[in-house]
Amino acid sequence: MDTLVLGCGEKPMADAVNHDRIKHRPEVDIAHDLDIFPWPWPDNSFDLIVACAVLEHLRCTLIESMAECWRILRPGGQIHVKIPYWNHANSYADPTHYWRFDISTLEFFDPDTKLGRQYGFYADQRPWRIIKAPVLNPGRSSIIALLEVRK
Amino acid sequence: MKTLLVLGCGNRLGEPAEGWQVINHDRTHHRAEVNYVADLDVRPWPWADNSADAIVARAVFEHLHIGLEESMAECWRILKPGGILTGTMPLWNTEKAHGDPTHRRCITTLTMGYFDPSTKEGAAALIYEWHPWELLSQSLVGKKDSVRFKLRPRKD
Repeated sequence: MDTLVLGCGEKPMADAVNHDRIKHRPEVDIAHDLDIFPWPWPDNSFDLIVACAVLEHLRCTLIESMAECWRILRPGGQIHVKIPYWNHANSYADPTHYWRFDISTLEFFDPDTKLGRQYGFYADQRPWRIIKAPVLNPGRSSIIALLEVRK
Repeated sequence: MKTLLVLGCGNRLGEPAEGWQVINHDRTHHRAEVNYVADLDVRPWPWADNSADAIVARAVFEHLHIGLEESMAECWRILKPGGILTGTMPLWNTEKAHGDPTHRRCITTLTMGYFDPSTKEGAAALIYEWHPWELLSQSLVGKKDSVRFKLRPRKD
């Protein structure tokens, strides 16, 4: 199974491709600014993407970053995503946070949900399926979810 | 002659003092006292390295498209060693922060600590474009809806 850890920070994973914006520690396998498209991986490269506390640091929208994740995941591939919740101070403290989200945000990406049906045109070429519904972490500062590409 | 740079002065002009030259900057020449017009979203900002003794940025950084770390990098570059940056930004959980349609970001009373390596937040910060500051203060002001901050660049 091929795993990509986006913006690994201080939490690189074993047996995975560990990415970050700069090569700040030896475990970082590839450095790339994720605001520059396309990301440096071919289509259908990974079975799992781990994106914990990374997508909110990008200038680009969640629609754009999720579209790149969709592209580089194989059919059946999944993304474990952790993003900051709008109603917690931590989401605003970090000067490099550009986005905060709601529990409902990821529904926009799944055409089986009400929001996905209503607003699916945002991500209509890159649909997802929510595998584990978005929930708040115990500290109620972040949203955690698991999604699978529909290819 | 010392230099005071007031960024985005609006209607709060820098107060002239003995021995100080005041630059009242804004994005447009909306009143006669504005003596420097520039768009802060264009980098680098048009002032030389180590050219200001003090920078005042009251309610400015939240209006810029560039990131806060980029604004801080420009202030760091422009301030002389020993210079002082003071300013305010809106507090995150207030109507003020989200009501203004030209606000692009808001902060907490921890945010400026990310720029000082001697704080808990600064020690752990992974900021791409980052210059070290000494955080002198950050606290709530106004109707407890703004964070006022004061920092000095570490240029040893």
